[in-house]
Amino acid sequence: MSVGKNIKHDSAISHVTGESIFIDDRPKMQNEVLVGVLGAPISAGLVKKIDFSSALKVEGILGIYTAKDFPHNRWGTIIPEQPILVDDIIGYIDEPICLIAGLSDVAILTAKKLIKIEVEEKEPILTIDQAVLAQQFICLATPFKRGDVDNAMKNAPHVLKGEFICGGQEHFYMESQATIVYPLENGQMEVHSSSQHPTETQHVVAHALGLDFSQVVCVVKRMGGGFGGKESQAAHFAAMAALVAFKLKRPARLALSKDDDMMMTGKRHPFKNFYEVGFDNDGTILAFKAKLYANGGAYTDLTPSILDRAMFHIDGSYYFENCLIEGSAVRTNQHSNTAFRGFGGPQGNMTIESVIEDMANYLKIDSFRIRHRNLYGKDSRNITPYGQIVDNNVLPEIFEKLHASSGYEKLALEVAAFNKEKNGKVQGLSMTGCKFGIAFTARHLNQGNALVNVHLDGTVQVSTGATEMGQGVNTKMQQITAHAFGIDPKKVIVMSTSTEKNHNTSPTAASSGADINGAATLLACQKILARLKWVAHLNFLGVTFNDKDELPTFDESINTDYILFEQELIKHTGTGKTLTWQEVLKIAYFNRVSLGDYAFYRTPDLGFDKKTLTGKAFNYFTNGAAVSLVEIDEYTGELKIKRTDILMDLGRSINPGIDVGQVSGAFVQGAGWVTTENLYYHQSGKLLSHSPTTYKIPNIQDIPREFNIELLENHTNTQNVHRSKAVGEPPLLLGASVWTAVKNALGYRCIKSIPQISSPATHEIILMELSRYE
Amino acid sequence: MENRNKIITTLNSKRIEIEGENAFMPLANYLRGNECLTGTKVVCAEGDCGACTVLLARDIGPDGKLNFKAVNSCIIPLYLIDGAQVVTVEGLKKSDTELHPVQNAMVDCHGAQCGYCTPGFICSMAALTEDAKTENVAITEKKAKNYLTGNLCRCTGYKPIIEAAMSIDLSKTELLKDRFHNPQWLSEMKKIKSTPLLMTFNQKTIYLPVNLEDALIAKNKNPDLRLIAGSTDLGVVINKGKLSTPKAMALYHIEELKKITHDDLEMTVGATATFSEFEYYVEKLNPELKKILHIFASPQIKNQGTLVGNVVNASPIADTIPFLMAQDAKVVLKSINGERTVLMSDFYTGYKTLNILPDEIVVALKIPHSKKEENLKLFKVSIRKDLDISAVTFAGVMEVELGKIKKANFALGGIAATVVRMKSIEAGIVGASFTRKTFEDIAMNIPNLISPLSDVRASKEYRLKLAQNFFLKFYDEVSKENNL
Repeated sequence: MSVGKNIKHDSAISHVTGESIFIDDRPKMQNEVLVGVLGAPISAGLVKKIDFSSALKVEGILGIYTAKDFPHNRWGTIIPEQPILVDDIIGYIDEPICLIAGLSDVAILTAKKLIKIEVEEKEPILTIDQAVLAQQFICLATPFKRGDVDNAMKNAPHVLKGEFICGGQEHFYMESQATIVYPLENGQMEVHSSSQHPTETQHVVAHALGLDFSQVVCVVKRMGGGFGGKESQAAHFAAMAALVAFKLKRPARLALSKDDDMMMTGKRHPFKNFYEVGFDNDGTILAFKAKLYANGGAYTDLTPSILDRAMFHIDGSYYFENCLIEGSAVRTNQHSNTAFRGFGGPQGNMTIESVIEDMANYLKIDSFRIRHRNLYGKDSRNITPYGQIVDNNVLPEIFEKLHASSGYEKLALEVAAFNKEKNGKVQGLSMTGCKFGIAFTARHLNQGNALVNVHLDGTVQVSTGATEMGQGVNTKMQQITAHAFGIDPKKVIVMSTSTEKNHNTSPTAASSGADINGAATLLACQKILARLKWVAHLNFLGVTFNDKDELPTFDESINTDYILFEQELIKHTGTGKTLTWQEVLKIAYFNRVSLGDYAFYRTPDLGFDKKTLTGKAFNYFTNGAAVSLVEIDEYTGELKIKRTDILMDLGRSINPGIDVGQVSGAFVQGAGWVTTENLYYHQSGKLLSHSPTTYKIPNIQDIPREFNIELLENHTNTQNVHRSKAVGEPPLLLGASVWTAVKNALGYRCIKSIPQISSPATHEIILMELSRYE
Repeated sequence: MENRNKIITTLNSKRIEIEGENAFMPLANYLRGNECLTGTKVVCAEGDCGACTVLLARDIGPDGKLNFKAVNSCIIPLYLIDGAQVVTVEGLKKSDTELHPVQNAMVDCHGAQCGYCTPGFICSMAALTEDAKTENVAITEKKAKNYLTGNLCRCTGYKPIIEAAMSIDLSKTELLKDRFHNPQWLSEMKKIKSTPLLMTFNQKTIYLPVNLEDALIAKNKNPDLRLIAGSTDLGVVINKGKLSTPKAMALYHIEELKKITHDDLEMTVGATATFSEFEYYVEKLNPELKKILHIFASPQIKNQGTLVGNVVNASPIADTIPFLMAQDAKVVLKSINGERTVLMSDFYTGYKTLNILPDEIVVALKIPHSKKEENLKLFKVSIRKDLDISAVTFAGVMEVELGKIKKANFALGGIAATVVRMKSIEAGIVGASFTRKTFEDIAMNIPNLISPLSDVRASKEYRLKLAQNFFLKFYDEVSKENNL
């Protein structure tokens, strides 16, 4: 029984020996060419002329291409408005504008310097404020409204008003965008891409080159990290390589440098959220109003869905009796912001966590008491602002258990005592929660298909639309398959994701990779299993076959539930008679019973009406909470995370080892977003923090000095495969506890008002805020 | 002496010779492109992420065996591995069925997720086991973190990796220096290091002299010969296409320049002594300096980079320069015409310009010891505590006698085009009372003395505030430690 077991990642051994093959590790073909990408020189304006005549003369350069070379130069997941290469209007600085095909990196670099781009410069829009002033909107969302918020606000004993500002975040997947395209016969293309969304990559490549979808196969073996950054954004880079392959009829390899990747690709959306909260003396929220502004960057990309998810998560773990939540996304001359683990959820969730921290500082009540008081209830106060009932709600249980297991009360006393000493350091403590909605809010994406092939030696190959980026989705499908057939997971291999095996797949995103593809895999296994049980049933009955007479064909109406597949044996639970796994396969094969199958899964009962705020936006919620203890050096603003305790509800985890790894990874990524990860732009709009020298993701010394992670026992999630819950994104939201703990710490020194900081709380932000109190 | 014109090195026990243009390519590119060893990854190409980490043994340790250290292969040109032994992630497993204990630990503890940073972590962790076993000490959490500081991972949050490192059973770990021990290679290695290497290709030249005299002659004949030590900075600017080094000379085959020695007065650090060697040397001699060296850079960079390189590179945010200035260290310069010494505070004449003649080579630094009665404080603030370039650095040396300031040396980095000795502050407080008021006055006056710039690392306001607070922090710490 392999589901629920802590088995090793399916690529673990090849990862540690360096034998795992990533895109740029593929051996070079004899006539392969490299593709370099040149970025636009300014943030906004018109392209007058591109002169690459002298660049073409560089030895080793085989071709230089611009927008004109694409039969179709526009793409976009929601709205096909983004140029693959800049044609006339520059949307942002370093936007891809020219492709250089060459035999060496040196030749490409030399050629790049010789390309002259004449432009007519325009004043760029670089901030949310500038965009709002210029009325540059990508979209306006339908507001969520409940109760009489104005009246409730008017009657509330206390009202706080303010703004919550959070910065973007670079994905910093270790493997930058990479793709190799092999031109095949008859205009066909084989695309190998580091992509979370092979189907979209297939579609964008085909459309760009004027090919049929069926002429393009996109294969994804694995990614060196994705985090959302390769959901939409792998596609146009694949189209660039495909153009070169198409033009030169040679394999083309495009592997961005980290600098180019960081300058050219979109990031997490910065948000500026205005809020007003009305509450009573003990901190019960009576009315909540918020107006969200997301910076979408130059193109629509996935922004409308990200804004939606921010609005869906601005309630955090808390119940709002009366609320009005409005949102819009602005268009700026920046890289087109895109999916990033959490997909707007963190920006929404952190807003309310910040508001509650402010309420605590204002009321001088411990923030835990305010949070606990406002949590969604089990039977009442359990409907979200968008009309969904919070089913099987474990939030109160999580908060209370973590409160006890972390020794919160004792820590709070110790922090208060420490801060009285005034020894140049100040500490803070805060617990925040997460209630993350699981499902694509675009309903049609909640579908998946799986192909399972059982081979005669008893080994199995599984193919689905899920892509492996380290999160262990392959391992989970390996376990689901092995579990279904009662065999050792070592006998199951999850194959490369390929659009020729699995069609019209959804991106591996929204934390739903294992949910959707695992469920489809299980269905395919069950179809095979039913036929094998039939074969075993006949065998147990003593029905034989020979050259003339085959076994009777599959009869679904016969009950074969008495047959069990476990430990590679097929057991008759009544007589104890057994067949081996290989024996049953052999009998099936010789009787022409198929050993493979395909299945389709759609998440049931999803549908949400934005206008009436009715229906079900999410399949279920993944919940959790974290308590963080931080310490600030008051001379320098330097921040240390002394301790973090996390309690996550992942239902019945399919692989607790992999899931705990997801929790620690997501938390640290979230903590990085709110502390050291500062995107720094020149006033021209150019990103200056475009490599690890200047953009600081957490390193091994930055994680909490004491770091405890527990999973909650919860068997209630019948909505999902094996009662598990999705894990990818939710724990990232808990990184916010570090930031609210900073606010808590600052509260000890901010006597006249309440602390006001933006995110990330860099050392600089913290010290400058502290000096405001002097 | 006859020059060699090819690099001789060993790669996972295989002896290889490198000729022509390949000699100038980064080790990582050679491994991936020429040897098909694609386990070594290149992510940042600037020595900042550790994905390209390999093990490099340049020296023979006191036990007569190879001394393997983790280094960043993306910024090491091949000519810097002449006479060395390289082990990559592919070379670590003993056979297809027997992995290195580090590899097993990472598998068992879910230390790899996407796998892209994993080979680098494996190599750094192998260096950890190598040292821990050699020194016969346990792998603590702190030790594990210190050895893995130079490796970035975006997936795991590091927790499983730390667990993996701590689960390794050293008693079952075979030392690489034993596994790769090859007496024949060791004797060839000695021969290689005693034969100068001179290679030219198109416009490019690399010269590896084996004694100082030859180096000085070469520098005198070709003043434009660029000296390259660990390549931790030059490697980056070359990779980013901002510089090509047509002519370079590396000194690491010159035995006498590797040495660190000390007498009663001062410590002498040779030109090619690495930061790791320096850090190890000062651990007991100067704990305050050790503290700043600890967060100076990653182990990989410290295994490659040299103290003299940091000084000559002349960055206004170089972490060691404030210390050297405040401590009145001296730069020892040599040419065929003789030797001279320059005080650190007189060494910098402007942004990246030095008080050095075209034919001179910095052969050593002389650093006076801190006196018992002196208080030394070194501060560094950066966006991230570890593995980051500083925003502002501070060094303060002070002697207090009977409540009065007898000696005060202060240096600040990150606030001007060079690191600056704050002489007007020093002059103003010698003789003054050692009180907080004295230092509050300094802090108040700081905005009149410096005008830092805003950049990607800090705003000018933050830099000013830090400079001010460093003086307060200096006072508070010194007074607390001395019960003054």
